[in-house]
Amino acid sequence: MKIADFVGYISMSGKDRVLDFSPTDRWVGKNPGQWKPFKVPPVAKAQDFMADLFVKGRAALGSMSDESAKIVQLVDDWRAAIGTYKTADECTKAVAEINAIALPIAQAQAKRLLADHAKTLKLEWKADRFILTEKEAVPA
Amino acid sequence: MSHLNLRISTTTLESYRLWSDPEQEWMPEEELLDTIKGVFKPNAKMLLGQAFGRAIEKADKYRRQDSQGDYYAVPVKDPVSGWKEYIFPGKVVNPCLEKFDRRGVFECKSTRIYGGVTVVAKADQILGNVIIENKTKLSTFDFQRYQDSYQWRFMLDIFQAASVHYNVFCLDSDGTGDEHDEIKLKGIEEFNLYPYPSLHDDCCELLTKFLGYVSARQLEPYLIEKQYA
Repeated sequence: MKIADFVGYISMSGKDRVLDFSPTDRWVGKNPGQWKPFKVPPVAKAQDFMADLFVKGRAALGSMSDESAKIVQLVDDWRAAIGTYKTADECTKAVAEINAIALPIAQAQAKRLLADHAKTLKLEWKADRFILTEKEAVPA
Repeated sequence: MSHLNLRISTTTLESYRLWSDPEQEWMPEEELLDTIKGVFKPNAKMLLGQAFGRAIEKADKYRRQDSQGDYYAVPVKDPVSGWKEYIFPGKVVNPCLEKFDRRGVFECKSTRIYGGVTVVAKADQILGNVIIENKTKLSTFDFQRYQDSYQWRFMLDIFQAASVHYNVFCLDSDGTGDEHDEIKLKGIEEFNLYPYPSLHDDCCELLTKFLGYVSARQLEPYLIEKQYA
C-alpha cells in the first residue's frame, strides 16, 4: 500500500459492489485520479474492467506529469526573469505579477524565488514595496 | 470572540488532531498548548532530526573530510543548552543524498482562507506540482501514521498540488538521540499521497473542531499573532 499509486477498497452497498479509492477513517486509500466511488460490474460483464482501470490510472498519472512539467517551465521562466532584477523597483513590480499567477503551487514558488533574490540584493519588504535594508541605505 | 483574523499553521492543526485522537495516550495537552502558543521545546530526537535535515539540504556546506573519509558536521541550537554539533558519517548521509532531488524551490509557503480563518502551509520543497517532504525518523517507521496525518491533506488543499512525495530517512542511534550518539541509516522509505474528492471537506471538518477547542479554551489571542507552519 505504501508504494502503490492507487489503493482502493470494495465494499457492499446494498446489492452493489462499490470500489472506492479515497482514504477514509476505515481504510487506506490513494486516488490520484480523483475518482468518485463507482460500482463494480457483475463478473460476466467485467472482462475488461481491470484493464480499463489500468488505462485510466496511467492516463491520470500521465496527465499529472504533463501538468507538472508545465509548472516546472513556468517557475524556471520566473527564476530566469527574477535573476535579472537589480533594483527594489524591479522586485516590487514583480510582486503584483506574481500575485496574479493563478496556480497557488506556482505562485508560492515564484514568491519564494523573489524573496530569496531580494535578500541577496539586501532588500526588505516594507508596507507595500521592497526597500534597501536600513543599514544598506545610503544616507541623504 | 470571532474567528476572523486568526492565522493557524498546518502543524498546529495536526498537533490538535494527534492530541484529540481518543486512543492516544502519549501526548499531553500541555504539548498542544505549547504548539498553539508558539512555544518550541525540542527534544533530543527533534534536534537530531533538524541537524540531519540540514546535512541533506546543505551537504556541501557541512561536508568535512578526515583520514577515514567524509562526514558531516552540523551545528544546531538547543533553546535550553545552546549550540551542539552533530556528526554524521558519510555512509549515513550519502545514500540519502542520492534520493534527494535538488531541483525545484525550497521552503515555500502558501495560505488559504477557510471561512475567514487563514491556514498557513509550508512545504520543504516543490518541484512542478509535486510537494516533496524530507523527513527524518528515529523511531519505527509506520506508514499508517503518515497516511492518517492532516499535514499532507492541508498541503494539497492549500497549494493545490498534484501529490505529496515523502522521503523518510530512517535512522538508528545507540543512545537517546543526542549529539554524542553513533547514528546509522536503517533505510529510506518513499511514498506518494494524493488528493481525493472529499479532501477539502475533511480539512474544513478538522478546522471546525479545532476552532471549537480554541473557543472553549479562549486561545484566540495566541492565534491572532503570526504563526507559520
